[in-house]
Amino acid sequence: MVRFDNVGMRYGVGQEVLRDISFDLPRGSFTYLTGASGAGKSSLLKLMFLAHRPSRGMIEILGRDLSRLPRQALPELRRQIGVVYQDFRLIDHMTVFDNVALPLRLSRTAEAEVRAHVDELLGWVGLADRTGATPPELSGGEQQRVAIARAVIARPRLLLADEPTGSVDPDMGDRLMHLFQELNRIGTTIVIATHDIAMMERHRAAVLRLVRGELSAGPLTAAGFGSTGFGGRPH
Amino acid sequence: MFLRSLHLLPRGALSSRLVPAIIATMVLLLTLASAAAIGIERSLASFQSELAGRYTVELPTAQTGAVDDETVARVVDLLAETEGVIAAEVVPAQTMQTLLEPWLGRDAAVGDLPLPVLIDIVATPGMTLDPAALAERIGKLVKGARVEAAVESLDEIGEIAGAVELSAYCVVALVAFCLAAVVVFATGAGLAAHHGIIEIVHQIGARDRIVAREFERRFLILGFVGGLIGVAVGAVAVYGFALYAQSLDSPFLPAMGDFMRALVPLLAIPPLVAALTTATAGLTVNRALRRLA
Ligand SMILES: Nc1ncnc2c1ncn2[C@@H]1O[C@H](COP(=O)(O)OP(=O)(O)OP(=O)(O)O)[C@@H](O)[C@H]1O
Ligand SMILES: [Mg+2]
Repeated sequence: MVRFDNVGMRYGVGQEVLRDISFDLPRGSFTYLTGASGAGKSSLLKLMFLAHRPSRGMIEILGRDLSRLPRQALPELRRQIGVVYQDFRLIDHMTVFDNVALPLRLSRTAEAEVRAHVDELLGWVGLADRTGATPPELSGGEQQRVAIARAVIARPRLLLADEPTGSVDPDMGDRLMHLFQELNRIGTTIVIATHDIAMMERHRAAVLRLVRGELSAGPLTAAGFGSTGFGGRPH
Repeated sequence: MFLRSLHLLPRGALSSRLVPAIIATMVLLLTLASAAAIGIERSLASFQSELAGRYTVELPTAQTGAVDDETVARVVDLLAETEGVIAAEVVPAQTMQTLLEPWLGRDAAVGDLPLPVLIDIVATPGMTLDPAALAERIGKLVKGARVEAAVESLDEIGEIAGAVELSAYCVVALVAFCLAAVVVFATGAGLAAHHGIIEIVHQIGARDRIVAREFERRFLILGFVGGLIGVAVGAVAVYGFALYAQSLDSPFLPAMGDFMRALVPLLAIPPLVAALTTATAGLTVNRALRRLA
């Protein structure tokens, strides 16, 4: 599903910010990606959502070897990947509704269906009364929920979320985690970057831990955050 | 589908007042240059048809002294009997004097000079006379008589006019090139200004076509509206100029209606400009996006 083999990554000509990354996430798995600030969590996610190329190693996403993928095949693959950015990246001139509807409209979903899906999801994340607002009019937590709604609306096969509960209160955080678990239940593979230990304890799942750009063969796993079965070792 | 937009770009994203103004100005220049080229071409054509079938007989006086009226009358008779001639008329001395005034001065005693006698001939429409054969026949009455077709004098003018017309079309091509260059710059600026949005849309899985289409739509409208404004202003200017030219009543100028009819193809400028701006914007976006992995 998502397989990394000896992957390295650097920005421009700088030092490698990720080194010797190898792991294999099975289809339908739910994984936390954790580590100190600057450890490389966001960078690792960027590799997974095809926004950055590795400087070495092999990456396989949804069964496709990225180094062999022609450019024309990328949009199709990206449509199957939902992304929640750490900094949300909503489109400011569009309403909340249109932001969330965008992935469906890009894949030419009928407008009636778009309306039903988006309304339902916005209701679920508690934004039913903000559909006509634009992102700059929202609080940080509200923007985060819009970003999550946009990432999950098209039922991606792979969901990558970067600190998706960092700006909401614990109750809403739990609600969003339930949304992710619901999605996971219908088959979506999920990776959530976070350093919210309390949340990881409430909603247990496998853990990948980054330490200064390298995967550590998980003391956290040993401490009992569910079984990983893939921490740090390629299959 | 082409006109359905996802409104990926904010309203008015590319129509910072300057871009439409530049496009309209370029189209105005395009219109004026095209109208000039067409005007020259029509003038030449009208002058040509005006002069076609006109010949001039010149009875020299230099060696032989003045040609007497009786001989002139016999030449006119001979011409009148010639097949294909519908009119032959002696250019009156008064007219000759007027024609020569700029060279000889108003007070020159024209009567003292042995002026050549000129006879204007109008041929039956569609008939061409053979100037050499005619000259030979008249030569039997007046030694050294010459016959010249009026159109021959047009050849040089025609060449100059042709060169000016070609230059006008070169201006048209250059303006079209500049128009495309403006669109390349404006598109580049738009891509830079909305880089964030494009990255997001790209990440969500939009194909390059979708993004390109957003820009194409903007430039289709900008090109068409700019084209309409430019052509409208240009048409007013050209019409004004045509009215003025008409008042000159010169044989060099075509009839007003004829000229205006010749300008009808200029109505194709707005759609052509729209096609140019649209295609340029699309190509520019596609090229830029290809650099985005
Ligand atoms: N665009 C960039 N250009 C250059 N270096 C970068 C860039 N983005 C991140 N880095 C560097 O890469 C390293 C990892 O950064 P990254 O953002 O992946 O960390 P992170 O684990 O997500 O941190 P945080 O928890 O603060 O979000 C850091 O040293 C950072 O300085
Ligand atoms: Mg980060």
